[in-house]
Amino acid sequence: MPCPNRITKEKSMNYDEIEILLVEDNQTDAELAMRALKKHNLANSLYWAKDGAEALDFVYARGDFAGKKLEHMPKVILLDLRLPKIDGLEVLKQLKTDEKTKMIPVVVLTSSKEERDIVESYKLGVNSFISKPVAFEEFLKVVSDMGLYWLLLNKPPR
Amino acid sequence: MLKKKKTPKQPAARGTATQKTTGRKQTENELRLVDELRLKNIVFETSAAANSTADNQGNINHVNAAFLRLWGYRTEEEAVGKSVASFFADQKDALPVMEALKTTGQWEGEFLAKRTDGTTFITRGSATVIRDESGKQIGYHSSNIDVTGERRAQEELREKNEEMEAANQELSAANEELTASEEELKAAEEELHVQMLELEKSEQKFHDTVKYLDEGYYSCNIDGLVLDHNRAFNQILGIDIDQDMKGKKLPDFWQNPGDRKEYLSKLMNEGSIRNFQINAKTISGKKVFVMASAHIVKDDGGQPVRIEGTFNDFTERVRAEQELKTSEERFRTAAESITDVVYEWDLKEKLVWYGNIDGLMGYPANGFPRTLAGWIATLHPEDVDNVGKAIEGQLKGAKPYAVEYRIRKKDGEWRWWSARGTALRDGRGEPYKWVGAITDITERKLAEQALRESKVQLEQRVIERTQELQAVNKEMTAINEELNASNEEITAANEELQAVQEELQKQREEQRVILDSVPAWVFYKNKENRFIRVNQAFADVMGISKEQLEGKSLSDFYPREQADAFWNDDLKVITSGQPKRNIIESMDSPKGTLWVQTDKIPYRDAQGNIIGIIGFTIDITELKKAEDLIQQRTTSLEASNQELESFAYSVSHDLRTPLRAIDGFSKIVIEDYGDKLDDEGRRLLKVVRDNTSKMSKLIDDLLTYSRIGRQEATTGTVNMAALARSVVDEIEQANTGRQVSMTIGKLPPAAGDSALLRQALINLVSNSFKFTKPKPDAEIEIGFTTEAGVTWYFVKDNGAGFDMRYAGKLFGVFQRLHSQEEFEGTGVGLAIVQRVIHKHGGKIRGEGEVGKGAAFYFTLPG
Repeated sequence: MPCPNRITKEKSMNYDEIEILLVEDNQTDAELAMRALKKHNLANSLYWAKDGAEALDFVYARGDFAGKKLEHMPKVILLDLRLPKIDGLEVLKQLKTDEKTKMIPVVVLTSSKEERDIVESYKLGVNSFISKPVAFEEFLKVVSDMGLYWLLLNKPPR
Repeated sequence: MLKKKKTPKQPAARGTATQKTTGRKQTENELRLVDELRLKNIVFETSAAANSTADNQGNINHVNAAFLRLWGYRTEEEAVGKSVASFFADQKDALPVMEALKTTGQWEGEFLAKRTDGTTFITRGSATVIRDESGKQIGYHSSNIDVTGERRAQEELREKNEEMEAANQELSAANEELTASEEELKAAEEELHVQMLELEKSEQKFHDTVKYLDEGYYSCNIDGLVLDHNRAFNQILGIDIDQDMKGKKLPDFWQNPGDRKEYLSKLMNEGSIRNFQINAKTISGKKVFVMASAHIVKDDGGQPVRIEGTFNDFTERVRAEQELKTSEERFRTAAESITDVVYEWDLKEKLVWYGNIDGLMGYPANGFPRTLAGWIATLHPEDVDNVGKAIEGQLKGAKPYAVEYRIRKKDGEWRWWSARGTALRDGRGEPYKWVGAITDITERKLAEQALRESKVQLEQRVIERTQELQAVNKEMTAINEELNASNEEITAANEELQAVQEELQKQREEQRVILDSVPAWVFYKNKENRFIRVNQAFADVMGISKEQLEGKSLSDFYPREQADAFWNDDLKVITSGQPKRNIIESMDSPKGTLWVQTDKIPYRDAQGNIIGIIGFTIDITELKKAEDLIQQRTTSLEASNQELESFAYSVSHDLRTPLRAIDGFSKIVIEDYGDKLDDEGRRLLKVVRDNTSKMSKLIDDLLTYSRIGRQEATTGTVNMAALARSVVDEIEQANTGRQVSMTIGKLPPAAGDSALLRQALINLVSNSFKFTKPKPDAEIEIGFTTEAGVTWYFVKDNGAGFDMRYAGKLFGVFQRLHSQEEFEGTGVGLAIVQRVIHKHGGKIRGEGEVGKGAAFYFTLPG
């Protein structure tokens, strides 16, 4: 199955223009999410990281992302919880305990409705917790609403 | 008896002095004779003894001055013509005198004499027949002295002796009394020996008393080692008064080994000995005379264990007796040696002695001085003046010369002389010669002196002994009183002790019963790791009797390491004084390995000193097994809970994702490729999407059901009426357009978890809404009823109802009584309700009738 690794067609994408960092290990969920955002033209500046380690490398301009400007931060990070390598809660913890990254809005976007996940995320400083609806229409609506909100309505600090 | 004494030469009778004067020689002879007669007359006249002569008929014809004094005559004329029989107070005494004179011509002896005034005195005298030159009896001569004083002194001496004898007897009686009391004392002491502390006290009292008795007291074992003694013991035996002789050999105080043999054999044979007289010696060898008493103390088995003895020092008394005897002897000698010596002095230097002066004074013949100066040189210097004055008094003033003075014998011994003398005077009254007589009165003087001394001594001794006796009696009385008091105390203490012992015995028995009955092992151990006492349970588990266990240590039963491990715990308790509780350890026993829980606490005596530990052990083997089982189960439960949790998490997270993919991509197919599908194709895709929706619902319900099972119910007061109202509002909102008649009663509050109860009510009310859907006049009531004091909340409707035959399946998971076509549902709703109610400890039941409605009742804690 052909899998679009990046929404942007160009391989030489400019990491410094990325506004949404999607952290999602499930390909179909990622695709559905990007489809929903795309409907509102919100997916052009999105980078999809497949695990927690990649997400942190991206944020801290390490490894593959060494050329990225460290001071450039995405407008929002959509973070799944169950992730390979580094778990979503651990990623959240590192971002929210670091002075340089703690101001980046992080939205947990997960299948879980477990109370403990919600509580733990808020304890670590999550900005929003969204449970992915199973029904596709609802899912589309939730993701597009969320994207519009964080990219257009919300005013992050500069 | 009386010593032979010199009889003076017989004087010539009166009127015979101037017979026959023939020739010169005759004249010279006559002159010499006249002189001699005159001399004899002088001796007769001046003698200290009463001299008298009598004719053949016994009528007195001449007496001297001493005679007149002795018999109480004033003048010679009064005496002359009296019969010699008048000398005797008792005429019977005269007969033997007459008899002796008749047969032997002389008599010597004593008799009771009578004076002219009728008073009597004792006289010692001699009588001799006087014969003329031809040997014919012409009369009698008699010489007497008064010995009343001497006899009285002798009598007094005898009386004193008797007095002393009586005192001695008294002393002896007192000694016996003392000994008897002492025996009582010893008997009491033996009795005391079996007693406890009081005993030692009174023994100490006894000891203290004995310590200061004058009587020597000792106690020794059979080997002669001193066990106890008092101060007098040391004193009498010449040992330093404060030296402790305990544990030392009894000193050898025997002068004569034979005495010792006799004493010991008597003591051994008879068990005791009384007032045995011993010629003893002190350790320094000084001879002493003691009276010893002793007895053997035997033990219950009759074996001699020790000797108790007393003794008195009688050395001083024996010496006093000896002295008395000596003085008696002297007195006797004095009485026997009365004698007269006659002398003549020319008033110049020459002295002539008549009598055995040389023998008396210890000189060879004619050795005693025959000069005045020589004689004066033998006089005692203190007496020279007296004698000189007396002589002068006689010579110048014709005062009677009667003096007593001391004169030295050849060997230096002083003798007392009683001297009398008279100066002979010529016609002009001028003295020209001196004649006199002396009597040796030394023995009398000495006897008097000795008497005086012994009298004083005796009186002193009687006083002393009386005081001693009184003191001893007083002490004995005090001792007896103390003994009586001690005995009473002991009796009282014994009674008390007995009562206490009985009570103690009772308590011990009770304690033993309790200890043996408790289902635990109880043991007392001392600081040497030995069991002092254990209870029956402990003995049982060790498989031996209590008696076998007591006195042993655990190292007698266990390998060293294991025993040491137990002992280390004990030691910690003993050294720290802190109890050690809940020691859980395993131990081997004949019944196999046991798990035990032990408390060890310090075992203290009455003074609070730790003397060991008290242990209290419970066999927790079964408990331990159960605990282990529980632990295993808990562990496996925890594991399965863990699994369940991760399962639920997986379901919630991972199961939804593919569902969403199915739904999402089905939708994408419809969106992107809808124009290429016919109606059937679109319907089929819709079926796919409907089922993903149901499955999503099913997963949610199952997760809820699972979560409720795992979730702890918090407890608070829940306003059930308000909760019902809120639930109904929420459901009505989701069912807009439905016309339902809702009734909510005044539900009493309940104790529980409001979130869980909300979930239960939502499910019940949702069901009622669902099952009344076909009814045009749907009715739902939320209320409560009280049965037997228990509140039953209920949710009742007039909906589809159910067949009571299947009521048992109502609350099962995935159990459905209606088809999906009639009523949608997952079959989990009521299962969740039941789980919530059960979680609260409540009950739930359903009632229903097909087509008429259903009602669900449940209880909650108030």
